[in-house]
Amino acid sequence: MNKNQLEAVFLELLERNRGRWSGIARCYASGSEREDLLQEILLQVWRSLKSYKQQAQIDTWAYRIALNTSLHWDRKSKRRKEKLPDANNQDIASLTDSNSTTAEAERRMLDDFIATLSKSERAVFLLHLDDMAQEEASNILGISGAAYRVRLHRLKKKFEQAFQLKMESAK
Amino acid sequence: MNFDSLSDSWREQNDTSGQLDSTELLAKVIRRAERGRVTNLIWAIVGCVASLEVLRSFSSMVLHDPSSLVRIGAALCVLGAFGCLAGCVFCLWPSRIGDQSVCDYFSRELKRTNKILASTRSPYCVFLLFLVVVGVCVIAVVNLPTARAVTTIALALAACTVALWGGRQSVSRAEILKQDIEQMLSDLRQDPAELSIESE
Repeated sequence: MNKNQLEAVFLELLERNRGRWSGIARCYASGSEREDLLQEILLQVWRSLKSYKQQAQIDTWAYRIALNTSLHWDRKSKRRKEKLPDANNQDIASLTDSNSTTAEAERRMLDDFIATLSKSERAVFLLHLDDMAQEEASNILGISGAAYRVRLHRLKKKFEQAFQLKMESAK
Repeated sequence: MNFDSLSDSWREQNDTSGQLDSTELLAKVIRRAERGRVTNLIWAIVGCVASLEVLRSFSSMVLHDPSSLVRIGAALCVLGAFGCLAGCVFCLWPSRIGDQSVCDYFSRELKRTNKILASTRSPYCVFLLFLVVVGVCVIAVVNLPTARAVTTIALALAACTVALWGGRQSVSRAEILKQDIEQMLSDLRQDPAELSIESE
C-alpha cells in the first residue's frame, strides 16, 4: 500500500472504530490521560497498518492493537491508580440526583463499576460492551470460548450486585 | 440498568466524545509518527558518530604507539564491555505492539521481563561494568596528567555508582511489572471450571 492508500484505509478505520477506541481509552485512563491514550492507540494502529496481513478482519486486528496498547499504557502509567476515579469515594446519592440526567447517571455508574475491576476483567467487560461475538472476543483475549463465557457470567453477577448496592444506598 | 443491554448506551456515550474530526486526527498522528522517526534518526546518527570517534581514537592510539599493550588492552576492555552492555539493552528493548492476542502479548512481555531480571542480577553484568571502570582508569593513568587522570577516575566511579543505582531501581521496577503481568495472565488463564465453581 502506498501512503495515500494507507491514509484512506486509516481514515475508514477511524470512522468505524473511533467510538470503540475512545471506549478502550476510557476504560484504561482517566481525565486528561484519556486523550493521550487515544492518541497513542491511533499512533500504534497507524504504525502497524503497513504490516497488516489480512489474516484477520481489519477491525478485529485494530481492536487487538488498541487493547494491547491500553494494557501496555496501564502498566507504564505510574500515576494511573491515583487518577482513576475510586468507586468507593463517589457520592452515591448523586446517582439519583434530580439534576443529573439518566444518561449522566448511567455513564457515572459504568465508570464507577469499571474502576472496581481488575485489568483482565476490564478487557472482558469492554468486549461485552463493544458487542463482540464470543468467538471474536475469545480470539482477541487468547482464551477459549468457554472461559470467556464463564468470565462474562461472573462479571454480570458482579455488575448486578454493584448496581443493587448502589440503588439500596441511594434510597 | 441491564447488563445485557449496556452496549447501546456505551456506544452512544463514546461516539459523542472527541472534538477533532478524523482528518485532523490523521494529520496529528502522521506528525507524531514523523517526529518519532526523526528522533530515532538523530539518535542513530549520534550513535554512529560516537562509535566512529571511538574507533578513530582507538586506531590512532594503536598506530602511534603499537607497543603499548596496556593501552590497547584497556581500550579493548572498555569497547568490548560497552558493546556487550549495549547489545544486552538492544535485545531487551520492548518490541512493537503487534497483532496478537492479549495472552500472547503478555506471555512475551513476561519472558522479556524475566530476561531483564536475569541479566541485571547476573554477575557477568557486574563484571562488564567492572571492566569498563578498570579500562577507563588504566587509560586515564597511562594517557593523562595526574590531575586530569584523578578527575577522570572520579567521574568513572561516579558513573559506575549511578549505573549500579539505576540497575537496582530497574530491578525493583521489573519485579513489580513481573507480578503485574503474572497476575493478569493467571486471571486470564484460570481454569473455566474453577471459575464457574467460584461464581456459583
